[in-house]
Amino acid sequence: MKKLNPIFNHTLHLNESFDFIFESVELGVLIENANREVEFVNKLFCELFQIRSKPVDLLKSNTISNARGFSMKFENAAQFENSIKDLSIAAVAVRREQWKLRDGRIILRDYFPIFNGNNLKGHIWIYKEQKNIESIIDFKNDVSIIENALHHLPGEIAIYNTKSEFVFINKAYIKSNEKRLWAIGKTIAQYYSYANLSGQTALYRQENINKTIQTKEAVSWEELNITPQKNKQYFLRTCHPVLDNYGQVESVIEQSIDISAQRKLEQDLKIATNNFFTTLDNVNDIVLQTDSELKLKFINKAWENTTGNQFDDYKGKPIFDVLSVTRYEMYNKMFAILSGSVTESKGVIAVNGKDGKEKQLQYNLRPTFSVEENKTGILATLTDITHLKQQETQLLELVKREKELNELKTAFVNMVSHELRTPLTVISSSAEILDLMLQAGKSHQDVAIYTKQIIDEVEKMTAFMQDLLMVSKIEAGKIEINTKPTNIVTFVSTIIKNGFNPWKDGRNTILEIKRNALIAQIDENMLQHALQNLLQNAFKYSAGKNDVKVRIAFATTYYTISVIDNGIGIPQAEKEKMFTSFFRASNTGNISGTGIGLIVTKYFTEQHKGYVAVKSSINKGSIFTLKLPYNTK
Amino acid sequence: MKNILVLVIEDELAILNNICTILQISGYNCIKAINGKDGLLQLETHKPQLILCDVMMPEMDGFEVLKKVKENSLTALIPFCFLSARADVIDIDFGLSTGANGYITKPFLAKDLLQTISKLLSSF
Repeated sequence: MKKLNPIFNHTLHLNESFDFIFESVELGVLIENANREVEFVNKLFCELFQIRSKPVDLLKSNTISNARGFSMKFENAAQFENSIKDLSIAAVAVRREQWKLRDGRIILRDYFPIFNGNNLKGHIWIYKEQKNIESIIDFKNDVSIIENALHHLPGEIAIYNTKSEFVFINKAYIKSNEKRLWAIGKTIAQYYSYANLSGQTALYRQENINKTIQTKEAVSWEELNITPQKNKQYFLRTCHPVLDNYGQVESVIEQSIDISAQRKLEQDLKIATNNFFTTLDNVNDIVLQTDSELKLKFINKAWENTTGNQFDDYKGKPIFDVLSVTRYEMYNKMFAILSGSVTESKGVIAVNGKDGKEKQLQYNLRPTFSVEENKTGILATLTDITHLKQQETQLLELVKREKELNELKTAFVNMVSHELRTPLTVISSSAEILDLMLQAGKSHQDVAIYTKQIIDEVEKMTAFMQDLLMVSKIEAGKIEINTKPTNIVTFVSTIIKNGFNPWKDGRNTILEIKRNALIAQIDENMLQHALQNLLQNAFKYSAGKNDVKVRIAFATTYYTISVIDNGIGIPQAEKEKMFTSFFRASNTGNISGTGIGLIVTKYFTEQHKGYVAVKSSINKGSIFTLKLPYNTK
Repeated sequence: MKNILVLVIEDELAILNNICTILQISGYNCIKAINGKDGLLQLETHKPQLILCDVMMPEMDGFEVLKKVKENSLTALIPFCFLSARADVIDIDFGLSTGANGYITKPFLAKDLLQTISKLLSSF
C-alpha cells in the first residue's frame, strides 16, 4: 500500500505519470473526483471485471450511473451497489473486503477517501483478485506467514542483503534456533567459522552470492555432501537476485534442492547402460544397429572377435562399407524393413573370419525406432553358425557312413547267403537224386557224377569259408609272410594252367612276357591267392567278351604282373572303395561275388612290399597290375 | 507220360542239371538254358507249359527275363516261377510283386519243387 501514498500529496489533477504507476502494479484501480466522475481507471481494472471499453473511454463518466451495471457482475449485486454508495458517503477507508463475482472469483477491495484538508476531494477504489496465498499475504502485508511457510519448506532457503549478510534463514538451512538467530546480519563465512564447518563450502557460496549481486543474474551450482552414514547427497543451489523498481539488486535469495534421487537415477542409468554395452560386448552373437540411412550406429565386440575388424573404423559408415557391398539379398531385406513392408527377416551371409577362414553368419533383422531421429533403423543380430554347419556336415557324413555300413552288412549277409545256398542246393538235390537212383538200382557209374558234385560243392564251401577266415585274419593282422626264391614265369604259368586256360566258359588266358624272366622272393601261397582272385574277376566280369591277358614285365628293381580284361569296368567314383571288405561295384548287377578277393590280393601284395594299381574304363575293361620288388626284405 | 515241357533257366550248371534230372525222373520233359538270353532264345522254338528261372544271373537277371516273357503275347500266359538263393521274406514278396506266379528258395527239397510245379500247372 506504500505505493499509493503519493496520491495523498497530490491534487486531483491526475496526469499520465499516474498511468505509469498504476499500470505497473497488479491492482485494479479506479479514482473518482468529488463529483463522482472517473478521474483515472487502469487497464487491469478493466481486465479484472472484463469491461470491454478502454480505460480512456471511461474517463469523466458518471460512477453513480455506472455502479448499477458494474454491481451486476457480483453475486450480491444490490449489496455491492449499496456498499459503493455507503462508502463514498461515509468516506472512511476500508481494507480487505471480500466480494464474490458471479463467475466464482473472489475479489478483495480497498477503499480510500481523498481529502484536502477537511475537503473530500475524491475516492480511490482498489480491487485485486484473491488468486493464491501469496496475494493474500501481500495484501495482508503479513510477513510472519511468509516466514512460517519458508521455514517449513524442505529445501534450504536464505535471503541476503547486498552486503551478503543473512537477512533470513529457514530452519532447513540452520536447524538450531540459537545459531540461526546468531547468523542474521552475519556473512556465510562468519557463520561457518562460528559453527566450525568447512570453510571451503562457505567460500564457494560466498563467491556465488557476490556473483549474483554483481551480474544481477541467477547463479546455480552443485554441492556434494557426504552424510555421517557415508551416503552421498547432491544439492542444486541457486542464488536469485531480487531487483528493486530501479533494477538494482535489493537482495539475494539462495535456495537448494536435494537432487540426490535424480543423481542416483542418472548414475543407475549410466551403470545400466554400461552393463548393457558390456553384456553386448560379451555375447557371442554380433549385434549391430543402423540409422534410417543404414549407417552404422553401433556394433559390438563380437564383430571384431569374428572378423578381426575394429569397431571404431566403422562407426557412422554406411553398412555396405562395413559388411562389403555384395550382400544384395541382405540389403534388400533391410530396405524392406525400413519401408515397413516386413517386420522381421532372416538369412545367412558368409564373411572372412579373423583366422582367414570363411564364417557362416545367420542374420536376423528387425526394425528399431530411434526417438532422436524419429525414424526407423535396423537392429541386426548375426550368429556364427560355421561350427553348426560343420557339425551338420560331420553328422551327415556319419549318417552316410552308417548307411553305407548297413548296406555293406546287408550285402555281406546276402553274399554269404548266396555263396552258401548255391552249393547247398547242388548238394541237397544231388543227394536226393542219388537216393532215387540207388533205389532204382542204378550202377556206381550212373551215380558217380552226383557224388562228385557233392564233393566239389563241399570243397567250394570250404574254400569260401577259408576266404572269410583269411579276411578276418588279415583284418586282425595275423598272417605272416614266408618267402622263397621263385621263378615268376613258371609260377604264373602254373596258376593259369590250373583252371584259367581254359576258363569254365571256354575262353583262354594269354600270357605275355616282357624282357628276360627273373627270380624273385615270394610267398607262393599268398601270391597264388592274389593272382587267382584277379584272374577269376577278369573272367567273371567279362563274360561273353575276349580272352583274358596276363602280362609279366621285368624291370630293374621291380616286376609287374598285369591281368587285363575287356569287361564291364569299374565306375570312376568307386575305385577307392574297391579294396574295402565286401564292397561290390554298383555295376556288378547279378554277377555273384564275395567282395573279398581284392582285399586279399591287396593285402598279400603289400606283404611283398608291392602295391596294386588299377586302370579301368566302363564297358571297355580293367587292368589290375601287381607291382612287386624282387626282394621283399 | 505227362508230356509236360518245363523250361529251366539257371546259370549254375550243376543246379541246372540236377533240377532237370529230378523233373525227368518225375516224368516231365525239360529244356535247359544256361542264362537269361539262352532262355528267351529257347522260347522262340519251344512252347513250355512252365518256366523255372534263377534270379541272380550275369548279363540278364531273372526279373528281366520275366519282363520279356510277359511282354510277349505268345509267352505271357506261361506260368513263371523264380528259383532263388535270395530267401528273405522281402525278396520273396518283391519277386512275386514283379508278376511271377511262384517263388522257390534255394536250397529246396525235390518234393517241394515238384509240389510247387504241379500246383502251378493245375491252376493254369
